[in-house]
Amino acid sequence: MSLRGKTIIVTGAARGIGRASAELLASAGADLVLVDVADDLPLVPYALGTEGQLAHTEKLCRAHDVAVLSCPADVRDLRAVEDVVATAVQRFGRVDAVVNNAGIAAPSGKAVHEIGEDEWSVMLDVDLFGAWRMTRAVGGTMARQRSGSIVNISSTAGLVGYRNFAAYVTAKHGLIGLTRAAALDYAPFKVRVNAVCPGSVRDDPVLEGRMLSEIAKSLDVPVSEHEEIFVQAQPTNELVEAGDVAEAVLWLVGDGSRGVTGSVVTVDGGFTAK
Amino acid sequence: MPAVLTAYESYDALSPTERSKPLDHHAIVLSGGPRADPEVLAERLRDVVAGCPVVRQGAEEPGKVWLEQVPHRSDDPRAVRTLHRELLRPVPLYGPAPVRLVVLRCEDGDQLVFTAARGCLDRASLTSVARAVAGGPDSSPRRLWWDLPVAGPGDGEGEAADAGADGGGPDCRAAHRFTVPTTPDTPPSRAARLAAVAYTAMRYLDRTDVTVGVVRRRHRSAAVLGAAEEAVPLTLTVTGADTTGELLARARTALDGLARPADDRQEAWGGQEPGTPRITVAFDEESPGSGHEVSYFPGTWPGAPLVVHWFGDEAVCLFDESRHGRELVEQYCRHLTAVLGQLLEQPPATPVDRLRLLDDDEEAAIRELADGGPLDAEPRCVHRSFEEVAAAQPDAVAVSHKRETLTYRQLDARANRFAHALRSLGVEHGDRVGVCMERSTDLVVVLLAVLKSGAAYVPMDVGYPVERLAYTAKDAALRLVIGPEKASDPGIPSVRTVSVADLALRAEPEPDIPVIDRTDPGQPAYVIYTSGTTGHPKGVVVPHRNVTALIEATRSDFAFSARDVWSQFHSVAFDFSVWEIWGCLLTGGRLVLVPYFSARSPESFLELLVSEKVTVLNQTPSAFSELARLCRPGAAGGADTAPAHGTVSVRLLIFGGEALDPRVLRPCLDADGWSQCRFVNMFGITETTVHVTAQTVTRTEILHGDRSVGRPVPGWSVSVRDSRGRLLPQGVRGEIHVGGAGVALGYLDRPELTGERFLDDPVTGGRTYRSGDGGRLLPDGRIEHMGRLDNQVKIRGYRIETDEVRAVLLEDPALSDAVVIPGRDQAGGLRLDAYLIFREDAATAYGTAEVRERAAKVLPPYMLPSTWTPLSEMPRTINGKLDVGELPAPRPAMPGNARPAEEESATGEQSGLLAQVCSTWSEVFGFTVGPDHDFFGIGGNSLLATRLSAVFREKGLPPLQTRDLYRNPTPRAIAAVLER
Ligand SMILES: NC(=O)c1ccc[n+]([C@@H]2O[C@H](COP(=O)([O-])OP(=O)(O)OC[C@H]3O[C@@H](n4cnc5c(N)ncnc54)[C@H](O)[C@@H]3O)[C@@H](O)[C@H]2O)c1
Repeated sequence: MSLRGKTIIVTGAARGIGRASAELLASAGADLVLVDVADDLPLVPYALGTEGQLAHTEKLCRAHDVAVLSCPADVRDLRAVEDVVATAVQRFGRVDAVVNNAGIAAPSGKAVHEIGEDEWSVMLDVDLFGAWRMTRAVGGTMARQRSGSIVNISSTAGLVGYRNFAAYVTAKHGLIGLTRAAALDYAPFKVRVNAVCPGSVRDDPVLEGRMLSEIAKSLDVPVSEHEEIFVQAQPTNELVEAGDVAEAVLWLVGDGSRGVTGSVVTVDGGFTAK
Repeated sequence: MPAVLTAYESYDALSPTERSKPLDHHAIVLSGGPRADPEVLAERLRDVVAGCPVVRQGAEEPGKVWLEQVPHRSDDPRAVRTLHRELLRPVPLYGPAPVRLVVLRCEDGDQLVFTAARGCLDRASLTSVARAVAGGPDSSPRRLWWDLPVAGPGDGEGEAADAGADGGGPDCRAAHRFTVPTTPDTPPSRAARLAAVAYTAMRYLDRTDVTVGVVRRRHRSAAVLGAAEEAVPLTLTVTGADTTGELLARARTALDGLARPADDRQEAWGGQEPGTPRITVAFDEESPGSGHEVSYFPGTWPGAPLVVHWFGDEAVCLFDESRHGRELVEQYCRHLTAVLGQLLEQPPATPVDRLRLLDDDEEAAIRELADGGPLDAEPRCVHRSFEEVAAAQPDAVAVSHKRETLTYRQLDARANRFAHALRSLGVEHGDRVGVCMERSTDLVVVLLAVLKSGAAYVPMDVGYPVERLAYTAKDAALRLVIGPEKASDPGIPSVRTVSVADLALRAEPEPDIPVIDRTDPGQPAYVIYTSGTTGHPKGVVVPHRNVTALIEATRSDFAFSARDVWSQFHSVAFDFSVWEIWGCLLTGGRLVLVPYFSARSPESFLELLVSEKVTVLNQTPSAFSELARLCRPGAAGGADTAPAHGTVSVRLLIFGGEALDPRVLRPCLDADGWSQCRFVNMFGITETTVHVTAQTVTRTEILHGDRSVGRPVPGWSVSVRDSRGRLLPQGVRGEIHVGGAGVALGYLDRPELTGERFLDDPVTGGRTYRSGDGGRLLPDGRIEHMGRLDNQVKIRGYRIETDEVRAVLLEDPALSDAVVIPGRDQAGGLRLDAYLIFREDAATAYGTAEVRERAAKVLPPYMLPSTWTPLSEMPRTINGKLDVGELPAPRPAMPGNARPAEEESATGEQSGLLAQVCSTWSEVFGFTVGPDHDFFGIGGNSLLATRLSAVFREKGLPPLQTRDLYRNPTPRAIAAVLER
């Protein structure tokens, strides 16, 4: 399915699943607006994406001869998110899809009563409110266009609980709720909203992804062996690749999924089937 | 395949918001200049925009320049693709900035792309913005956007089309570029170009006038930036008598009119009479000029799905691909180029009629396309062919009727004796003999005997009124009539009538060897009377060779053999019977005559099909739809509807006699016994010997409601022509003309009418018959049948195809059949009347009002029927076709749950003022209107409103203001208002 002529905003595009998705969408011909905080966040105990990583994603996309616009922005900042959408409209005339992928996995590793209020807040602010802010900013434009597709990257943590990950699990469950509610709000305007729930995604060095090792750290799993340990929980005996998640995204932004809205696509190698 | 041009007319059905897509933008590209400094460009852009009050509105960030790194040379296909994508990219009309400036930084230099919404900046304004921003006046040659380097041939166009097609979104713009011929010293004038666009459209639409929009600037002052361009509608009228000089002069005058100031011109685009085609023409004369090479991308125009944009001798046609197929647009451009060339070359005294759209090659190709190919068979006489079959299989059963049967030997011998008897009655070679008999094996004997005696038979239906029979006898100058059998029958006045019993008596002593006859295959075999839409019935004279050709043309495709059993269902007065009788007897099959009452009861006909093991069945779609109702999966043999019967053995079911909407076959798809049957739809006319084309109807055609009638059978050919008989291009709608082996000799003793309908084809030397049916040629040579041309009605300026409306109604799952016919309200205004047959299993709560509601979602208001009358069955003529005269008086739509009692009171007697109001409405509408019927729901319009208030006045009722009707649209509400 060609995406030629479509404009798509991808958040958290500097690396990992965001990068894999952006590149796949570019290869299908979409013009892109790449968003990432490209900076570290207080309280998040690991390095987030960098400007260099964002520029690299941009370069990878450009190789497909599409127009690409990089917009460093923090999804916790409503004004910044609104500016991203305004810029996209100014440059491309329309916004056809948004992939709400920006997210953090830590601070985590604590039981509920041990979590600090600020730790709880930052997790929800990024992983749940971030997607809401983007939807808020772009919803009107898409409704006026009478077309659009919003894809929220949730997680298997949006479907089942994980010990010592209460804030993340709460945010990702909430994101599925937002998906279903927004799908109903926009359905009459032919704007679709769906969620993708990745399972344990391998940290691909080429994509510079590192979320799985951060999750391992929070769980006190030795980082050197974390892959083997996570694989044990996988019915397929292998981790999910970021590219597999990107394929689901590609389908959901394209017209091939015209009839799909408010649904949850799980890409977890069978983890939640058990 | 979307239609070109014809589709324009439905454009009016779009809402104003749909018409003015904010996507209508245009662009200017500057290339080849020095590397630009985005900072400097941004600053200049800010200055330009700041100086312009119109543009500054809402311009938050007017100086934004988007720099796009393109890691290729500008002539690299990838860079070209990037540029094209930039050109087609929409601009929001109320976006933050009026102009989008994108710098494509290619390896060999920058390309500056200025894009603006037309509603915001017009061409001149955009040009001055571009000039001011890029800096430096210059007059380097102007180029078009497609002149920008293109990789492979067609790559650029393809890309442009591509981006529209699969780019999603509501924008389906595509472009086709073409060059027009020039004579060295006279480039085509504006008038010539306009005339070519308009005249070609007229030929496509088969009209004598056409309205095109011509783009012009509203005022001359270029100092103000803004949107001062408009497309002004110009109407050109041309009749066949005009010369090209006159056509050009008219175009020139029209264009001169544009030079006058705007305010005293006719209303602008949009206020037009509905139903006018919308083509817009733009001429480009001024050069933008700057230190760059400049290209202009014209984009589309709001409200015009097809724009022809001229640049000197080059043009681009921008079109909405969702409306017009690419091939058709390309074809239209090719033809307008041809017309323009002729306008320039031919002396001005040339009649416009001489202008040709098609050159010899194209004309030959079109003819070839719809030619059924050669027929490999000698012309024969029907009875000779029969004699050969009879000799080959003398003991096979030829005809059966109830318990009576005749073998081929018996039939042949009896017919020989009868032929001698006819001779003894004075029948001579070349005579015409009327046959007016009930169904019996002797009916077939007599038909054959007439042919053997050297005469032609003239079938007459015993059910016809005696005046009609007398008319036929007189008109055909019959030597004698065989029949009516019963002694009690008064006989037909003014002609000698011999009963079949008498004839049989006379035949008894005669020998069973053939009479000596010298019939030639070109001599008439039969004369069948058709009634047509106007005038008296006329006799169509069909020679022997046409009938034998038809059998030979279909024999192998339909694999006819001696194992086949054919039913003879139709009246001999209907030419479908010619096919049934001779199709069977010349291929050695067994002909089962369907007794009169079986032909009228679907149940008993079905029983006959089963018990006689009929394999070849011929039906009109109307008649078959009755049969099909018994064939719902599970219904066959079911307890309640159908009698217990076995399965049918029909292997070939041929539809003919009227247009088939394959969707009526849906119930049979999986019905018992029918799923193995081959369905074939054959288009044909009495004047072309029963059939012309054949289309096998598979599940695909049935599910999609495919209207193709297929390709002509071998020996037959079809062409689609305009009302003046000129061959039309492929895909363009016109009248179906039929040529080849089936064309009849003409109408009996009506040389004038024959001359009108049967035309000589100078190319083939043969004759063609104008069918009066609309159609178009599909790319694969199949014909799409588009209904009788006289089914076209024009209501309030809209040209409406009643079949098209019917097709929409048939999509309603609650309906098993529907017809739509033009009707008139009491004051003579045209309207559409719908008659509906509900499926037996349709929900009772679903009534005509619900059907109407559903149709209203699909049809534009002017195509929505005004009345909706449910029927239990369609009235049929003797030939099994719809009998329009027998349709009941139309009624307004009723909700399904309106119980009969309610319905009664809804239309029943009222008292006082309300009663008077109701009766006045009924009078004006021409059907009974109840107190709660909605004026607009039952087909009211402003015309009827005016008439209604006039009738109120005439009757001395309280004065009715038409605006009251809009607020109080029911008789009850109006009565309440008037009572106050
Ligand atoms: N990796 C996995 O195993 C896994 C599993 C399930 C779900 N997910 C989800 O997939 C998404 C992407 O994860 P990933 O594996 O690529 O992680 P990642 O850490 O490699 O990438 C996330 C990106 O989001 C950006 N980001 C973080 N906070 C941001 C903010 N406030 N504003 C803008 N950008 C911000 C980061 O800079 C980073 O580039 C996340 O939503 C994550 O929850 C990942």
